[in-house]
Formats: sequence, structure tokens, C-alpha cells
Amino acid sequence: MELDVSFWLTQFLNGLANAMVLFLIASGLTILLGVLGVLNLAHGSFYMLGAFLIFSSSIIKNPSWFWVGLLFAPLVVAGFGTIIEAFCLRPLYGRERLYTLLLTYGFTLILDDLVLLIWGRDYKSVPIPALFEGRLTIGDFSYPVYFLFIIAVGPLLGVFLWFILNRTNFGKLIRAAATDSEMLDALGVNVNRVFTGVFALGAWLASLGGILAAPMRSVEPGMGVEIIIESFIVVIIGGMGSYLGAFVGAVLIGMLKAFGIEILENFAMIFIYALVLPILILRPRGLFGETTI
Amino acid sequence: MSGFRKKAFFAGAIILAVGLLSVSTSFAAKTIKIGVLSPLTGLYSIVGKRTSQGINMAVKEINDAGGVLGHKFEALIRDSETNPASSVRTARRLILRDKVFALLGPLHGGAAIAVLQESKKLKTMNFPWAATEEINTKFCSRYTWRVGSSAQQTSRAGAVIAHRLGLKKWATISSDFSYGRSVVRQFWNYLKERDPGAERPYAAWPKLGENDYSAYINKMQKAKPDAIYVGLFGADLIKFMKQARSFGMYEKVKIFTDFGGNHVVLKALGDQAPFGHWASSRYLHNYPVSAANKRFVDNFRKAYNVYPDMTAGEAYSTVHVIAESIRRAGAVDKEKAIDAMGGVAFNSPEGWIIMRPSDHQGWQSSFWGVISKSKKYPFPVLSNIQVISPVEGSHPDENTGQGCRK
Amino acid sequence: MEGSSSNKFSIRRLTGSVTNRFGVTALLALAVLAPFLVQNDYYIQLCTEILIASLLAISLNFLIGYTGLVSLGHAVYLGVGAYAFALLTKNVYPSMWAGLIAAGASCALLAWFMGVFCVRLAGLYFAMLTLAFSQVVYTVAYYWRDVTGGDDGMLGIPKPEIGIPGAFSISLESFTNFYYFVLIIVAALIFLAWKIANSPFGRVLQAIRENPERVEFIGLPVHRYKLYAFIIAGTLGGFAGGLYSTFQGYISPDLLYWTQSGEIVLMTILGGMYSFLGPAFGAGMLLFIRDTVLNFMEYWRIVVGGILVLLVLFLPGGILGFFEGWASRLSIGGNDGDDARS
Repeated sequence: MELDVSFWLTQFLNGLANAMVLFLIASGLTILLGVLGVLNLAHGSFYMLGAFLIFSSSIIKNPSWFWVGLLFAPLVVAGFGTIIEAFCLRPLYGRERLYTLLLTYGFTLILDDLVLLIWGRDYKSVPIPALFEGRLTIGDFSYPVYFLFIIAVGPLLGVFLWFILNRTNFGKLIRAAATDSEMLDALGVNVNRVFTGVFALGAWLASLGGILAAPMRSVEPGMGVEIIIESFIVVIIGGMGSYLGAFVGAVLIGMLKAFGIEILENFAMIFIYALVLPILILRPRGLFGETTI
Repeated sequence: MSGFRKKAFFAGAIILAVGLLSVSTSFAAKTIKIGVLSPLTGLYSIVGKRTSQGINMAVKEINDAGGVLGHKFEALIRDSETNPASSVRTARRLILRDKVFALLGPLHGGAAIAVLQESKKLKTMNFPWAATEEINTKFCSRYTWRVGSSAQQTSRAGAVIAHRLGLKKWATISSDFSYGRSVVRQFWNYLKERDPGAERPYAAWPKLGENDYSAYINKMQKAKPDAIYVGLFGADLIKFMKQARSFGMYEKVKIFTDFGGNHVVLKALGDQAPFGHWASSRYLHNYPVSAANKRFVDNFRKAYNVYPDMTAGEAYSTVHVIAESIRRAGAVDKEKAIDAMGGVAFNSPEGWIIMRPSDHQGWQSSFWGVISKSKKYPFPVLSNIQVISPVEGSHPDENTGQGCRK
Repeated sequence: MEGSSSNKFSIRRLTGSVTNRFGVTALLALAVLAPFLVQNDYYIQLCTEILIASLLAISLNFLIGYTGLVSLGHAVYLGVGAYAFALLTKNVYPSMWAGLIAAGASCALLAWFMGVFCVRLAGLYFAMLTLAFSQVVYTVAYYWRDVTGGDDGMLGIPKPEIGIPGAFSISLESFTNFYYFVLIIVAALIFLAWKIANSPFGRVLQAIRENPERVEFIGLPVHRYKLYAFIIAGTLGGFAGGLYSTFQGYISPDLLYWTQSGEIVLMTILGGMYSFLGPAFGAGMLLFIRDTVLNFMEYWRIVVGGILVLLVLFLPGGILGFFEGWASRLSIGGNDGDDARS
């Protein structure tokens, strides 16, 4: 029986590690949806950019490469997001939402090729940072330290987000913009700046997800396409605009993936949709959604 | 209805018509075009660039030597995107529009089978990169040939090694599609044949392109196997290896990887490679130590400043085999070249390859070796290389080849 | 927010200049003559693919352009229609008509089932639910190997000959024959779609797009109208799927993936969702651009993506929409295209 406990615990942690990467992407996506009403298909590309940038910083032959990358890469991606928002997305806010969808779809195509042009076609492999090498072993149970690191980062960022949204001026503006951006505008607040900030925050979070995933997954163009669909599912479950919902949704999906293969090995994905469809049909705003879009 | 709109419409129609006409290009007389579907993007893009380089090098060699029967070779390399629909579309374009003499690729098993049916219909010889054994059996035709090893050859060779080492309890993992299933099926059936006592408590079939194997790895560990057989390909294999490593699989079991001996995989894994474990590669830059291989590797490094991988070697040999078949036929003629293909022998970098008339498969040895650090190379290589004769891995005559004569 | 009444692109352009007799005649003539103009089997089959994609894009426009419902799951009909055709002609009975009817009917049923749930939602929720439904079908097609062949797809889908058994039959194996067959089917279905779009029913749909509350207020059952639009779009999409299946001879679950849905939306917007034939034009443009760029440069995504971004920023009415707007401004002056229904 000893063995089984460690098996289930491992499976649980696997689900959690998976969930935390999803949470980072979905939280940005959901805030963007809540505040701007923009379904950002290029969000997966920010995830990809994060992964490519950490690859570049892994070339530095110094143990600090990971921390340098972790600090700067998301800032670079956030800056890039700012440019996209300010120059391409902003002119579209007055128009039908469909156009923002198309624009961001266009950017997913462009960025997929752009990373090829910049980084070339050779396979990119990012090592595990030396600090997180190895496994934590307690009796029969043994688990990779790096996965534990990912699991720890998720809630930390969750708290950080909660702090930004609830305890800072910027957060108050974001929440106000989500409720009624026209009113905010009338009050003399520069709503455009709030929107840009939200977009940059989303890009920052998504690229962090890419950085955390890079040592375990492959760094390649198109890696955003798959993650974005899972993130959407998380957003649907949690409710658009709710980062708490994104957290719960991500954990649910992570668990379904980890434990689903115990029941229907090759059909595990179907459990995810078995969860999503009723939610969309019965409670389209998701478990925690408040904003009406 | 206004005059202006009439004009606008005429203009539009004319632009469209001219556009369509102008792209049907002229056909140069003295060239033999070969169409290549190379996975430049997508899951298999890890080998796309090397495939193209291998092709280009062979074409250059042939042309520098004066071409074949006074004709120069020209390679039209297109992205197959690792996507069946787009592979079929591009294959049609290469055959119908560019009038290629032969079609090479694609690598994705399902796409390869779709493309070979298309090239059969359009009467153009096709050399899939994919190693699925169904290409020599169920889906074989007059127009389908393969110079590279089949999954049957490498996987059965793997079973021979596995049997030699006396490993009994196995877990397998491979992608849930034609090639992935083929690799594990061939390995497992052949091992069971040689060692009826072998058991397999767990077989995992993750989807192609899976990102997170941790749940499968955990289940594998629970099954407590002596060894695992990994049929994953391309980026999937690298992801799996990295995750298996962090879960400590490298120390707990013997690992056999069908694709893991490929140079690009070992280079990508670097220090994280499974040292001391078994892997195969359909071509090796460091074995055999022959003049042909040395010349190939030296020239390849001179041209591209990298080492050739398995796909580069196979692509290179394929172009040379096509050239040889044209020489044997004595005429630049698609059908005559096919008639001459059976029995073509080519002294390739990996040793002699003989095109077997019965199942249209290139006869060649398979290589398995132990992944090791090397003093000579700045990346892991295979050492202690075991050469398994093609007899072990080939289709017995009576079971195959029926389709190939159609 | 979706489709506010202040929209710059007025609904009148739905029946814009292309639908006038001359434009349609010219287009039809071009389509009929295309095999002779292009002179190459490859381009004949590219034109065939464009025709099928046109039908698909026009069917989606019933939702996007007419009813104001942005579906992100339209590939589900392409895929289900294709699989229905393949399963029937391969396993049951190899008949072109039976296959096409199976494709259309299965999608009509699927659209009816999905529609019941989808049309109750609006805006992004509608988009999400259609996306989720299509991903469910994708997942089933991907993992149900015994029926669909899983990731390997289905091979050897026939092109059954048409005609009257015993009397005469026409083989569709030649590229030209098949092109004309597809042209006839697609033209007939597009004509049907045009008739529906310009019927009183079609006008109600447009009214729903502009202001659903008002339509509700008049006493018309908005949900039911939306459901009908959903079923029409799905059925037409299913026919496109059936045609695609026999055209390619090979299908795989990729047809159902969300990126495929995105591509159909892309065609629709590229051509112009406020003109009836705009989506067809967009389908032709996208396939032609991709075909050309893919074969002349390695980095084709950057070109297609760049065109898309520029288009969204500078030509929001789509290409055909832009030309029509331009033409009507020049020719009618202040009249704003009000003649278009003649």
C-alpha cells in the first residue's frame, strides 16, 4: 500500500505542476477578456517568446542564467505586448470584437515565423537550472525538485496578482475598467493607459509560463497553439475576468489530465470537455465569472 | 448598374486570369526535378533542415559530376508542415505543376501514406521518409519505394539486442499513430517470438505532440519494468527524455529508444542524454568508419558546418539511388526508372543499400549502440555499436510484396 | 456590443454590386472557363478547392455577417461532413449523392443539436461554446481510432461516378470533370443560400444582427431564427465537407481543429463579411496566397499574417467590401449604394 500512496501523490503533483503553467497563461488571458473584452489568440505566442528568450539566456555560461532570464525575459515580452497593444489593437477597440480576434490571429502567424527567423531552425534545449536539479526523496516517494518549484511559483504569482488587483491603484483602475470603461473615461482617467497596462501584464504572465515550461517541454514555433486552447478551457471553466477562477480551472484541468489516464488512458481529454460543456451551457459565465461580456 | 463597376469587374477578372496563367512556369528541358517534402515546421522540424541539406548535397555532387545522362538534377524543397492535408496539397502541386520526376517524403506516417496513394494515382515514384512498415505491405505499389530503413528493421534489431541482454519485464511508450504503433508492435512481437517469457505490464500511447509525459512516467514506474522501449519521434522524444530524467528513470531502468541515436536528438539533449542506455539510428556519422562515410561527413561539415544526422544520410542516399536507377534505365523516363529500381545497389555512407524488388525496401543493416560521452565530439554519440543484419529485420518474402506489383 | 447599429458597413451591401446580373454572369463565366484559362491540372484542382472553400466561407457568413454570431467552431461541419461522406461511401455504399446527402444531413442534425445550446448565448460566450463543441468532436475523431483512423485519418475515399444506373454514367476521376461537378453543386448551393439570404427570413436575420431586442419586441422568436440560421450554416458547411472529402480522397482530424475554424473565419473577413460573395472571394484569396507564398518562400506565415494585420487595420470591410464601397462611392455619390437590390 505504501507504493500506492506515493503513486497517487506523484500523480497529484504532476497535475498541479501542469496546472500552474496553465494558470500563468490563463490568468493573463482572463483578465484581458474581462477588462478589454479581447480574446487574445496571440497569448500563446507570448508563452512561446518567453520560452525562446530563456533559451537565449541559457547560453550564458553562468549559474545565474536562469534568474537573469526569469527577470528580464518577461519584461521584454511585456514591452513587446505594449507595442502591439498601442499600435495595432488600440485602433480596433471601437470596432467589432471580431477584428481584434483576427488581428491577434495574424500575430500568432507572424510570431511563429519571426522566432524562426531570429533563432533559426535548430532544436532548442533549455537545461534545468542547477539549483533545481535532482529529486526530493522521502522514503519510497521521490519527486523532481523543478516540478516542485513550478508548483510553488503558481500560488506565489496568484498572491502577487491578488495584491496588484486589490491593493494598488492600478488594480483599482483595472477593476473599474472591467466594470465600466466609459464611466472611467468620463472621470478623466486615461483608459488607454490602463488597457496597455493590462495587456502588458498579461504578456508578462504568459511569458513566465513559457519560461517555467521550457526546461521540461520543447521550445519551438507553434508551441503556443496547443497551450492557448487549454488556457481557453481554463478561462471558460473559471469565468472570464476572474483570476481566482483561472486558478481553480487550471487545477481542475491539471487533475483531470493526471487522473483521467487512470480511467480511460487514451480518452482522458474527453473528461475535460465533459466538464466544460455543461458549464458553458448551464452557467456560461463560468464558476467565478462576474463580468458580463 | 454603373459603367464603373463593369470596368472594375473586368479589371478584376483579368487580373485573376493573368495571375493564374503567369504562375504556370516554363519547363526547363535538361533538368530532372525532384520534389521534396521536408518537415521545415511543426513537430518534426527538428530534422527538416538536415533533410534539406542532405538533399542539396547529393544534388550538388551529382551535378558536379556532370549530371545523369546529360541532365542536371534540381531539388524543389517544400515544407510539409508535418501536416497530412498540407503534405497532400504540396505533393499534388509538385507532381502536377512542377512535373517532378520523383517525390521524396514526407516524414509523418499518416501523411506519407496519403501522399503515396496520391503519387500512385498520378504515376510518380515516391520515397517516403516515414518508416511505417505498412508502406512495404498494405499500401505498397509500383510507385512506392523506400531507401531509408523501415520501422521493422530498426525495431526488430532492437528486439534482438533486448533479447541478448535478457531483459524480461517491459513497458513501452509510443505516439498513438501509424508509425508510433508500428515501431512498438514490431519490437514487441519480435521479442515475444524470441523470448515467450517476456512480459509487458504497461504500454502507453500518448498522443502525437504530447507536452507532459509525467503522468505516463509515473504509471511506468508503478509497473516496475526492467526496461522501457521508447518509440517516440522528433521533439516528443526529447520532451519525454528530459522528463524521464528528472523522475530518475535513467537510474531505475534500461532505456531503449528507437530514434534516440539520431545525432540531432543527442545534440539537443547534450548533458541530459541517457548515457549508458541503448539507442538506434538509421544512419550514424561515426559508424561505419568507411571511405564513403568519411567523405560524406567531411563534405557535409564543409558545406553546412554541422554534422549530418540520420535524415540527412537517408535523404542523401535516396537522391543517389534515384540517379542510379536512371543510369540503369538508360533513359530519363519515370516508368523505365521504376523498372530499373529493383536491384539498384548504392554504396551509401551507412554501407551498401540494395533496393529489394519484392517489397521495394532498401536492404541495409541496422545500428544499435550505447549512448556515451565522447572525447572526439562535443556531443554524445553511440558507441559499442551492434550491426544487425537486414535478414533479422526484413519482411519474409511470402507475406509482403503483393501490393508492390500493382 | 457586437454589431451595433451604428456600424459603418451598412447591411445594404449584403446585396451589393456583385449580385447584380453582370457581376454574377462575369464570375460564372470565369468559373466555367477557368479550366481552359489555367491549362494545368494542378490549377484546376486548386480552383476546385477554392470553390469548396467558398461554399464553406459563405455558409459561415450566414452566422457572422448575417446574424452577427461569431462562430469559432465552423470546422466541425467541414470535418463531420467529410467523415460522414467517407464512412458512408467507403463502408456502406459508394454513391456520390448518398455521400453528399449523408454529409449534409449529419451536419444538419449536429447543427440542430449544437444550436439548441449555442443560440441562447451571445457574443464571446457563443464563440466559446462553438469552439468547445468543435473541440469535443475533434477529440472524439482523434481518439476513436476504430472508426476514424485516429491521427492517421481515412484513406482512399472514392469519387463515385454519377449518372443513372444502367443508362449512363460520368466518371469524376479526371480533374476537369470533377471541377465541373463541384462547380455545379457549389453554384446551386450558393444560389440557394442567396435566395435564403434575400428572403424575408434572411432580412429578419439581418435585423437580429442589428438589434436583437427590437426584433424580440416586434414579437419574432429571435432564438428560433438564430437556430434556423445555425442549421442552415451547418448544413451548407456539411456539403462543403462532403465535397472536400471526395476531393482530397484523404481526411484527418486536423480538419476539425480550432485552427481550421480560424482559417474559415479568416476567409470570411478577408473577403468581406458584409457582402454576399465576399467570403468566397476571401477563400480564393487565402488559398491562392498560401499556395503561391508557400512555394516561393520558406516563411509564408509571416506574409499571410502580415497581410491579415494590415487588412484588419486598414481595410476592415474586407477586400471585396473595400472595392464595393469604393465603387459605390464613386458611382453613386451620396446615394450610398441604395440601388443594390435592383
